[in-house]
Amino acid sequence: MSTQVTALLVVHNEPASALRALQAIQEQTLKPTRIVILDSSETQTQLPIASQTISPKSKLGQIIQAGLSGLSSDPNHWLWLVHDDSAPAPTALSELVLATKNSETIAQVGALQLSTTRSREISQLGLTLSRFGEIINPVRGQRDQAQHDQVKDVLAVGTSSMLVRTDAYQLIGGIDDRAVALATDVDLSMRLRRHGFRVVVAPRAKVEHQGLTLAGKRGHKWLGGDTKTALRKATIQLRLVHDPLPLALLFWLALPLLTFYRMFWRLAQKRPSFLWAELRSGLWGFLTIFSRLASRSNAGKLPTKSLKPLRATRAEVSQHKRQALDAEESAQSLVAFERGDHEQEATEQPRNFSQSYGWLFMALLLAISWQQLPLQDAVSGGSATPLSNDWFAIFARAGASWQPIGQGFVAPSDPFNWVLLSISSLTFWAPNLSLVILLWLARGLAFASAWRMLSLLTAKAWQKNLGALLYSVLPVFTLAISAGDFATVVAGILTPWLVFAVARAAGLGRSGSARSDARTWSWVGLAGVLLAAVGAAAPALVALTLAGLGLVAFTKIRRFGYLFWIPLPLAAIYLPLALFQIGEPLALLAHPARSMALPDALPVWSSWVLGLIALVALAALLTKRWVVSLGIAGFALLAYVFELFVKSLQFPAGISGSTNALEAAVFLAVVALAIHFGSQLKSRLALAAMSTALVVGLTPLAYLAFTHPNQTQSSDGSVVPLLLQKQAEQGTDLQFLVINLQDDAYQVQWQPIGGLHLEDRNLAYSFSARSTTKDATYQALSQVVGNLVSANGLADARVLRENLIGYVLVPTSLQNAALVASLESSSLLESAGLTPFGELWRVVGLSASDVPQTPHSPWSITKVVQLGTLLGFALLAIPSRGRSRRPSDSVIFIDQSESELDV
Amino acid sequence: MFRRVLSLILVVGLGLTIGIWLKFPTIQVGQSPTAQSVKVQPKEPTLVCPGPVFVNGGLNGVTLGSFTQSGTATISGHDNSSAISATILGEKLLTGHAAGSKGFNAIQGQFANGQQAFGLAAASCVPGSNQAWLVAGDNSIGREALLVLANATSVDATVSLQLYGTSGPIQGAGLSGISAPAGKVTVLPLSSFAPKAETFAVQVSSRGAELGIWLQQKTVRGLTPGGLDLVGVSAEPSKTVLIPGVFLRSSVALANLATANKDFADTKPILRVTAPGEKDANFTAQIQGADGASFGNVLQGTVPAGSTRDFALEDLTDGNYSVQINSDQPVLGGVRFSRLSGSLPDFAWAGSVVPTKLDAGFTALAGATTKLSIVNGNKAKVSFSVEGKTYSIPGNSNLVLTVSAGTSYSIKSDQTLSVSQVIDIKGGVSVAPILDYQNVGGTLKVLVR
Repeated sequence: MSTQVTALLVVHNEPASALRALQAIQEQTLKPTRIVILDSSETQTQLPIASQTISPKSKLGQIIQAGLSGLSSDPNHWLWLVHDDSAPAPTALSELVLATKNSETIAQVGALQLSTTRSREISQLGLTLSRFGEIINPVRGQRDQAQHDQVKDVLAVGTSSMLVRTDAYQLIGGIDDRAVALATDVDLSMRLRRHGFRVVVAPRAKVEHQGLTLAGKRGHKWLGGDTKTALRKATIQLRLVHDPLPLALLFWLALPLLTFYRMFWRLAQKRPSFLWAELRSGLWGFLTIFSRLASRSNAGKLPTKSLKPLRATRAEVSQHKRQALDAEESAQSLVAFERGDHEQEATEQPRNFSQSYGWLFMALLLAISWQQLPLQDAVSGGSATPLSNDWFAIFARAGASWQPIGQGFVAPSDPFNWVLLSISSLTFWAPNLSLVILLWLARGLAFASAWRMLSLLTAKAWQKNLGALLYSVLPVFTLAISAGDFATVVAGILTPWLVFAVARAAGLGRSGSARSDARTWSWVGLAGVLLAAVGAAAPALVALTLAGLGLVAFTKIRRFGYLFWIPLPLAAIYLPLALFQIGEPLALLAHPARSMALPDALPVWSSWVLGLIALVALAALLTKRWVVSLGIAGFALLAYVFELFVKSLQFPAGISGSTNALEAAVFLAVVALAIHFGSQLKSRLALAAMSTALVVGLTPLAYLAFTHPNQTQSSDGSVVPLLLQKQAEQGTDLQFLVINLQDDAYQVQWQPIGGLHLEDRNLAYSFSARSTTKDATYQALSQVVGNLVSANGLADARVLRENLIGYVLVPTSLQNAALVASLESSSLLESAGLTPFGELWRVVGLSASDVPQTPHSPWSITKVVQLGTLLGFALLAIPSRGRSRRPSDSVIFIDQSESELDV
Repeated sequence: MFRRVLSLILVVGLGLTIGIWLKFPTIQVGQSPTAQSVKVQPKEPTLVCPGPVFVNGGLNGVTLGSFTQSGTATISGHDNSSAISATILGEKLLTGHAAGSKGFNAIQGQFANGQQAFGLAAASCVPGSNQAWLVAGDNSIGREALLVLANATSVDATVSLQLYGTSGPIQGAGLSGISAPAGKVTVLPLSSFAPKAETFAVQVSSRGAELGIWLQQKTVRGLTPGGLDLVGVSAEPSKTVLIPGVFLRSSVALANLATANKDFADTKPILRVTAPGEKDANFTAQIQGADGASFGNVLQGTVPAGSTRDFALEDLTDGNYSVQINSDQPVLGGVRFSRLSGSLPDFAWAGSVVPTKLDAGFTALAGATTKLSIVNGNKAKVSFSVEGKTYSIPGNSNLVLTVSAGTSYSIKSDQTLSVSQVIDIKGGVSVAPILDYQNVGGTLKVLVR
């Protein structure tokens, strides 16, 4: 019996292409037995042959079924499905039919699909799946040089211009319309395969295919989302339908976690545009499980495992991905070139940090910081308070919504806790050690950071070294280091890095690198993390940095899409506190470190030295690139005004604004200006004069850094007597009171028995003075303390017990002598001896074993969101493997002029 | 170029304008927590007096190691509007109504003239404390230093001692864990911790009840008693130490006595300085006469860290003096001086007194001649009033006032002063500081955070 072929042309809103496709069908050397046209367009397409109108909402399976209705289903009757975006070559059908003669079990034959724009480029020749179920198009992008001209078995073929045996098609139930658009092809072929049929490709059957569906040009509705979502949904669909049932169910159960993992993986790949697709597809797969399981009903008896030889090998998958990346990168490069915002490598290749002897200067700065040598576990005094020695306690406080202060305080923890957590994680076994080392390394790190930033302005190594050295020995930095003000130190180190990262993300500066999308996202990720850290360490800098970021975004409006995301981590960690302080917004400018009662004084001459540097900096306004200088100077003035404003704020006792960090920002701009001036000078004499002036400024500042006394002392990291520490380690909810006589008032601190560490400091609590002191419990405690200090024997033990106060501590001081005597005579208290922290008493009748610790989950929704955002940006910040083309690969970029900053 | 110069002028102008003229008004952000006012009843005011002189050997003088009180002591005092007057045979707990020394104070005195003790022992009755420095004492042959710990409360106390000798802290067994039972007076001979030590200072720390703490010093030359004193608590270590009440009399006679008999050498005035810290103390002591009637002296010296040294006060004629010590390290100080009571010498230890802005009260011992030695360690003049009568005292000087025996006085100053009573009965001498104590009560400020 002779072979019958019914050509089925499916038309959907592409009249011109449909006409071309029909013409191609009609021009076949082997004429199809009949031609059926099914039109699902919104407006009916006018074609030379009568077409059957189908509802535009119809899916492909329904459309084909409509085309096949009334036709016989037998092994000699084949269906040739032609999409309206395809144009088969005249011999295509004959080649396809010829391929069917190879075996009686062949039920589906696919054509070689060629690109419509590049006529010899293969766009598809069979499809397969990776180990993880991703659809692989193995020979996509290759030039057709007859290298594939043999009929061969494949796992699947695209439905465009496929030839399928009608009886087999009907046997398997046709195309499953429950499947997502991009899975239908592979699903159909797999079901044929699992019913014992063969699926082959006939490479000599050539079809030009526009691939409108895959390109998303048929609209997102058709795909059920964008292309990325559709592809991911297709993978999920295929796994849930074709994996063995237990495996499929396991996959379904693990899908939320897997989705979460894949989102981070996408960030690590610097592909944040996939996040939404991953999330949406994961939710879709999880919530539509019954529909997916229903699709398993006619999937075939053969196990999917039998198809393993037809699946893509690891090498094929890798090659496929590489090709996809190359194609994407080339496309982006071309787009960037067309946009004109790409950058070029500097014509003069600058020396890197090592070649500039940066390490040598860092070592010198470490020597200058001899007073901060990390010879102890922790530091205390000045502005420094030790962290907890338990890393998990620090983790619990980061992003927490409940604080263990007083009766327990519901408020967001300080965003700076995330910075502390990050730093302490470096030495998680001894969290304080990281902070001690940080103080020692601070100047060196600030040097490296400033060096990077200055490379935006100058290519000359000596100028970068000189400027970075000036920044790293600034008096304000010296003050912060000697006082153990970790927050200002962190802000001082990271601010230049932040400027550098933002400049990179925005494509500003002497040399650019944002040639690839992945690299730009890396800079965005880094800038996001740094902005969050700087903002958390010096909240007063937030407004300034956001203003700077806004200015950059304004001048680089085409980069807005990237720059927009930079403040996201900052917003994530600050939003809870911002909402809490909504009635007192200026409280957000409070510095997270303890302010010193008597601030350290600096010699007057240090101001004169800074004046000299400022004079050199002002000269930059007279150079050729005065516009850039004016911008930097304007920023310095803005920072100065803001510093004065923050200084005018009067916070509650023990709190100050981040004025030191603002001052560091002012002088960072001044140093940058001075170095910018140097970079413009040509005359050797002028250069010598400029460098001499800066060295004259540097020398006394370095001397100051070398000699300024430390305000901190060595500590073992404990903040309470050993007895309390040990009881806290055993786990108890007991609290204790620290009573101090200051300025004729008894100051009582109500603390957990383990004491208050650096991570327990809470700005929200500090600003809630009024509400807590009006609390009845606090008032009752005040009365008990009053009675205890007057030794009148009227103190109510019940109040102490009800509030789980197990101990009372009085710091050793002359003023407290009478207080000690009073407490000694109390029958409610039992002396526990003199400790390094003062006299300690135990409240009689209350022991740690009576009050076991109430477990508090370290997790909260806020914390998960904050941690997720920070980790996401951290992943984004990690540079991906160097996949970008080298300059030599992209000759089209070489002649690009300097970036806008170099105007 | 014009635009560049213009930009320079703009930046410099803006910078100067901001730096010089831009002033933001002070904006209060948040509220500092305010302390809560708490009304509390003060502790029932009590004062403890040590009672008569302790003598070794029991009433018969033959039971060694047993200390009994000998004779009677007279108490003069004041509680609100009523006078306190009593003769006691043992330690005495006085319960008053007023919370501070202004309304409730007492002093005890005893002129001993027996076989075992001769001289005047007078001391203020005290509210008790847990910490005390005693800069006095001599354990050499014929000299006896007893630590008197009076626990008039119902709670036991445990006492630790630290002795600072000439060679540094004195180590030894039994210095800690000393029991001072409730309701009893515990007497400790310091010779058991520092035998034959001539020079030392004692730091007393107690846990539990607050104690009345004194050091009783007695001299017996051969079989003849020749000096007695009850030394009260000294001021805490400080870089500036003020010692009022060094009233020297019969200097020439005593000097002759010392020349004739070496056993009378300790009748010469000495300054005792203790450096309890970890560094050597270099000090200058100015011995200053009152009223310009007597010239003083200046003494410089060094006390090794953790030790006590005595320095002879030479070339001082009879007169009313005070001593001001300025040191580079915190020190303690006290002056021992003697007088002739008839043919026998008596001595007194003038201890250092914490400069206090006074609002206190005191009573002059009945039957005694009492003078106030008032020292102003400030640079500026200080005004003060005694029983409403106003006086002023120039900066860095001292003043002497005579008060009437058995009369209670109030004293109030606008700046810090150090004041002691110098008490004289029959030529015997004692120095007792004016105490300004106040039981905590009334309205207190408490801030719980």
